[in-house]
Amino acid sequence: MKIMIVDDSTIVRTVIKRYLAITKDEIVAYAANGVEAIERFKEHLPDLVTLDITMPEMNGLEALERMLEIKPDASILMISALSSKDTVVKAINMGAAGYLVKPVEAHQLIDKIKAIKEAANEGSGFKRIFRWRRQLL
Amino acid sequence: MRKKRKNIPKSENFSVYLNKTRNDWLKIVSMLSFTLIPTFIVLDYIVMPDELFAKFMIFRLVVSGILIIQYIILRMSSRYASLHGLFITILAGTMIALMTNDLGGFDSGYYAGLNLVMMAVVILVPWGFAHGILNALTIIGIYAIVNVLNLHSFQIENLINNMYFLFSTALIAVSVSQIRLQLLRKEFDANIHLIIAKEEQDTIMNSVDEGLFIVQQEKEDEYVIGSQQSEAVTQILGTSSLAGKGFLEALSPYFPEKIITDLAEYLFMIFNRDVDNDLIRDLNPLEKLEADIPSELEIENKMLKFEFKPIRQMSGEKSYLISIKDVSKEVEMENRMLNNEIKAEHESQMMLAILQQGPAMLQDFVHGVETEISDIEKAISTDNNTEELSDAIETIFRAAHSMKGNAALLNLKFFAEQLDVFEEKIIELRDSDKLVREDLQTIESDLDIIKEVYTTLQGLIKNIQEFQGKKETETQETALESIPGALTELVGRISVELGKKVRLIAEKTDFTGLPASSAYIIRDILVQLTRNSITHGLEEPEARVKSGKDETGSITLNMQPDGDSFMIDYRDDGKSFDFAAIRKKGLESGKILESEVEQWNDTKLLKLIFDSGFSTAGESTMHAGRGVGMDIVKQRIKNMGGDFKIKYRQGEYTEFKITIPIKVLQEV
Repeated sequence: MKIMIVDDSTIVRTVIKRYLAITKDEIVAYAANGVEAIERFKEHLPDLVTLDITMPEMNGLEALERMLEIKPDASILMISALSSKDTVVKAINMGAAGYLVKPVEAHQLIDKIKAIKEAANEGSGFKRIFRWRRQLL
Repeated sequence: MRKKRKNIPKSENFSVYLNKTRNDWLKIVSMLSFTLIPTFIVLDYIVMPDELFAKFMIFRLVVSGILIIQYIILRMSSRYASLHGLFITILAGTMIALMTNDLGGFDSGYYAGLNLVMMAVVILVPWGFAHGILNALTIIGIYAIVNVLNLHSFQIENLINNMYFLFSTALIAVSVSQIRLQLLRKEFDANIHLIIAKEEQDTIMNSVDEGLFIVQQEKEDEYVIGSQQSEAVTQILGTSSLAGKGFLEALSPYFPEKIITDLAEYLFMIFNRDVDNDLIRDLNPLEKLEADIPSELEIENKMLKFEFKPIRQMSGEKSYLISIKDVSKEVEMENRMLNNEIKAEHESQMMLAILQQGPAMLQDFVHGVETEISDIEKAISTDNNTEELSDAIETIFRAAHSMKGNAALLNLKFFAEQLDVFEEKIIELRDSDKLVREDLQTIESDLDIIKEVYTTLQGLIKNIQEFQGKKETETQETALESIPGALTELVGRISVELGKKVRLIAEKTDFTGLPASSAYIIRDILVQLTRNSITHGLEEPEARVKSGKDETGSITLNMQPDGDSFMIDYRDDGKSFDFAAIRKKGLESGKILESEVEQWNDTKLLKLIFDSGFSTAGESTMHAGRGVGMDIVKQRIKNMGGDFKIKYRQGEYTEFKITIPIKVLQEV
């Protein structure tokens, strides 16, 4: 899975990169603000983005909207402070795949990525049919 | 149709239910019979021989008439259902049997009518095996007996044929009747279960402390509250039922608009996005928050906690069980615990402060506070005109300020802080335009807080004194002597807080002839003077160095009897009075008129300082700025019949020479 990390803090970017070394996913790009994030996103079309909500230039919600316009099936994980519940709700309503609370912990991030991968697999073939059947019964 | 039946044994209950059902069906059978039997007259007219038509018509009309009467009886009472059933069977059966007899006995094909009777009575009414068989056999029996009694010649094959059909119909009818009886039993049990379940549900809904209801999404932005809700909903929210209302609309009176918009976003998310339980819980915008609940008389403030639990309904639609809890008490408890912690911290601080003081000082402090509190209480209870009210306020103010000074002297921070808050309230009152008696009473509760802290303090002091085993007489003698030491400590503390360097030098301290009880007054005067010096007179270290002084300011104190008087010589080496500031403040407060400003010389301005409510400190702090310190000094001295003189030199020093008649001090 191609992953992109968007955060204005170098420390957060480094920390997430280190966590992702565990899952062996490929990090295709980094960005420190919204505008840069959109450019890199267009270039690499990643499957998963960790996106900071509060950033200079363009905030996370705007960036989220643009990214989903470019690639609607991209999974975007919002990274937020505990206090901005309402913004997270907005992000999920706009199509974000989930969120992580700062400071991000390794197991949190890895669990979320795993869940997103599973959901993506479930989205195709027999599994989907079986899921429908289960729901119907 | 079916009434709720409570507290009746189940079996008996079923027989009542069964009887009622049979009665209902019998009415239908009866109605069918008295309508169908006459309509057959048309068939008779076509197919019957003319000589029989009139006779059959009479049969039919008579039977129909009887059935109408029976129908009326069935409507009036539901008793004797089985007898009614048998009656219809016999009546209709006999009629048809007689007709077959007229039409050729066992050879006649008219027996088919009997099948109709059997079907109507046995199939439609849920009799079960026994009674079903009884009815069926009765019909067949009547047919056989009537035709045997008036026997026509017949072919045996016809009889066999007819009986074959009749018995087959009987078998089918009885089986159906039995099955219907069983179904009825099941239906009844299911109903009972429903009733019990509903009762249980009602009991739960009426007794849980949580407000419970279900919310479903109707349209994109419409979330509707379900029909069932617990009693607590109305108690917590103080409204009538919310059933069928919009969830957002129902909550909007209680919360600010921002919360409602957040809630709308949240509801959209939990209904339309793939969310797990953690997400639902973590992003809940209504997790413990304040709500304004209008009750009968006032708006009540409650802390409410909402929870959203996802449930899948049978229809497959998503809905949420909402639970509301009133957590006001829990939150209050949490706060109280927090307050208790703070209080305990204050107590230990006070305890430490007390331990550092000599018993004489403490004794004296307790005595002083008691006097001041009783002065305040006296002032509060004045019931006179406005002028005296403002005097009362001044008295209260002075007393509070004096207590604060003494508390600060003993480093009783918490007590001093409380008194500071108290003073703040009194300033508000003093500054209000129209003062009424009721205003004074409003500070009573504030005074209670002061008293409470004082009581705690008194308890602490008493405990410590008992622990230290000091006798009262011993403490009396040293109260006066402890003044210089206490002042030195006070100077140390205030100067550190204000970033100044000050030392107190007590040169002569001779209290000969003074009783210990006078210590409080003397100390009170000195505390005010000292605070005033440090706040206003003495400069910051840098400023002192600049003007060529020692960076540490000094306060020099001489106390001794001089003839009939006791003399206090107080001097600080600060910058002395700032007349420009006094003039400015005087103008601002309206005490000096713009037009008369020229006439205000330094001497006149100095007098202004000793007016109540006048201060030049930049802003009011714990230590100065209330504009009451110098006023206290003046009042105390005046009350004792004493006098004071001021000497000063701008930028160099200020000196107070105070004399109080010893006689008066002895009488205190």
